Amino acid sequence: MISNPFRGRIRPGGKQRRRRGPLLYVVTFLTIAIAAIVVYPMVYALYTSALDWRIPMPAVFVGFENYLNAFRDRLLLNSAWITVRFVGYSLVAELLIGFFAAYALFKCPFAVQRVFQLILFLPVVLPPVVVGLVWRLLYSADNGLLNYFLGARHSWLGDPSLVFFSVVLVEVWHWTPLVTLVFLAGLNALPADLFDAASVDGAHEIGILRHIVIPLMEKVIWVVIAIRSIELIKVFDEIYVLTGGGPGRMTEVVSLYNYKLGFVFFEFGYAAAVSWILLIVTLVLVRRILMRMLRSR
Amino acid sequence: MKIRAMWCVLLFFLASAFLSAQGQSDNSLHVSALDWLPVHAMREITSEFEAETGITVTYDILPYGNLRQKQVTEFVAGTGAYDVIHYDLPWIIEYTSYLEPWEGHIDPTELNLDGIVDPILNANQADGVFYGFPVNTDALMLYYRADLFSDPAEKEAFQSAYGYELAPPETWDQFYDVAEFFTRDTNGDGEIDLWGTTLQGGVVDPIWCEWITVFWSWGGEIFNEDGSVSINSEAGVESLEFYTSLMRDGLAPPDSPRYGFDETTAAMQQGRVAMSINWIFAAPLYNDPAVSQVEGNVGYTTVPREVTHASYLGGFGMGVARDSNKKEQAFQYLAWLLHPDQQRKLAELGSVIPRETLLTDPALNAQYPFYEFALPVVQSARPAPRMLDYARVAEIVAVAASDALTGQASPSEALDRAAQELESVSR
Repeated sequence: MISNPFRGRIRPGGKQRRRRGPLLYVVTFLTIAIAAIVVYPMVYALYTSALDWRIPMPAVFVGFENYLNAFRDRLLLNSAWITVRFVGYSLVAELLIGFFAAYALFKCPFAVQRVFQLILFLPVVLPPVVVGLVWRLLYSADNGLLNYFLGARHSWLGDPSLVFFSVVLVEVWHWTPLVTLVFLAGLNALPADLFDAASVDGAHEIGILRHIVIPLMEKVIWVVIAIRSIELIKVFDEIYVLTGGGPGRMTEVVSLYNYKLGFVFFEFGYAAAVSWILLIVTLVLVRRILMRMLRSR
Repeated sequence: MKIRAMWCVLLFFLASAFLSAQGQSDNSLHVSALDWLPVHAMREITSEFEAETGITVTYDILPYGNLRQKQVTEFVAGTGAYDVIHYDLPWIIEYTSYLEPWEGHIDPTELNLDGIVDPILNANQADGVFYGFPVNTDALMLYYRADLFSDPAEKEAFQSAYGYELAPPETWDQFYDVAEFFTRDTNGDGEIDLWGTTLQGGVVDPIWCEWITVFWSWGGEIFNEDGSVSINSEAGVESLEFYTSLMRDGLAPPDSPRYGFDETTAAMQQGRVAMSINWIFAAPLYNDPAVSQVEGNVGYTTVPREVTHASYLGGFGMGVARDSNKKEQAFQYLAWLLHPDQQRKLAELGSVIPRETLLTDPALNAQYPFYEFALPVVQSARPAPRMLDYARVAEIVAVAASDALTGQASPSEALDRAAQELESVSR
């Protein structure tokens, strides 16, 4: 018997009733999920950010004081600057390497692309903590593989002149494959006849890239920038495992500082305020990026 | 029908989520404890308690970095998840809000308080009220390669180079000389493979404990009697300059700014350093042939002095959580665990118990030769500053020391900055 998608709800001879059941069910579930998982914590965090609450002392309502203090907090400004540098270097590296790797793959036959797509997925699916731990071992000055193969003795995570590079490298290693895959998908979606027409007209590689490929890929590039920026601003796991913010405060990004505020110093009120500031900054930034994207052809 | 089934599933998940968030209501005690040999020893002997009383005891073991976080988070959320708390001594001031005072629950005379080493006993009280009881003790000692120090060729070379006899250093100047002497390339491949000393440079706790010991031995104090900050005093700058010079002059492994307890212990176990400032607890690890290449060749002494000998007093206490609903059973367990009989069993299993009778016991001294130094070191050790914001103080000082150690700031700059930050910490 053919399976009946309407499961007997068709009234014989009448109009089929619209199935409202599933829709209602989905909406209910989503409302509960979003309310519980997203809205409630955000509202509670907003409320907490208006308190001076350093447990075990009782909470005291202080309104905007935490936010005002944030702008005078040297340590927060320091971590913000570190985050900006971290995001900047990582984003540029990921975009450049990712795009050119994708373009190189784009030129290869599909079979080769398939194989690489599989390989490229491996770093991306690894949990950030695992990535951090593995690279921490690789970076060990005493028995790390990196020093072994380079025949060197560098303290990749302890030397102030190297640690930032080391941390960015891990982040780039982890996520560039994703960027590559997205760009590859975008390139493969480009109309093939453009390339044929261009080569017939005698255009060379650089020209094709500059005048055809990149303009057409603009939207994809902006989306990648938006997605990666959000993730990079929030970065925590890898850095926590690799350096814990050290040496000193060299790699103390905002989320790491926020974590210390909340779970080492237990200043919940101020930590909540910093979380909200981070959220607002991220929203503003992403909105600008997406506006840019929508304006492009 | 399907919709109804789905609602049932939804209700089931909500119900189980709700129920699992409640405190434990079974007849078992839940202990939150550190992943540490003394704790494993306690677990081992706890089966006797369970057999006697029928109360099961489950240990929730965590690494040091997460222990306080987990405990405080449970306290704040009021879950009552833990009945017995294993805590690091510096946390006691913060924990007075979370732990149940012992008065009325346990008769201290049963525990023979007089035998407990004083600094440890005091560290478990606040305003004269006991909130916990010491279960293990620890302090920093200086370990050294006894085989290298007693080698005649080494002694001769040292004597001619420095003009005095090679011996475990008594002062920091001697410490520098010895460290410099032993930093060398031992297999002729052009790379240094033996360093004079380790430096526990990891932020926060490793460098905090180690440098503050050096600072104290210079006569330094973080806060003056009147509460003003004196971390950037002359003693502070000099001691930090000395500490930094060990790294700057290449007398410690290059990765030292990342070193914690594990890396420091491994460095000595693998024969890569001639001296190492490390915890009493490391002693058995150096003599375990399964993990150590220097078994039998490690000597111990007190940490060198500048003005005075100092050592950071470590150690853990155990108390009962105020929001536990099994307080009487919890106190019953602790009274049993802390009875001198059980303490002796724990000592035999490797836990360093802060009782004079055990630390001077001949049988235990034969089993653990480092006991000879453990008692005087612990008796003269200093606990961390007893204040609510201890974690912030430790972080500020550790970051300053780390900045200086890695050359990002001069010792005086780093300490001035730390002093500024410490001003805003509540005392």
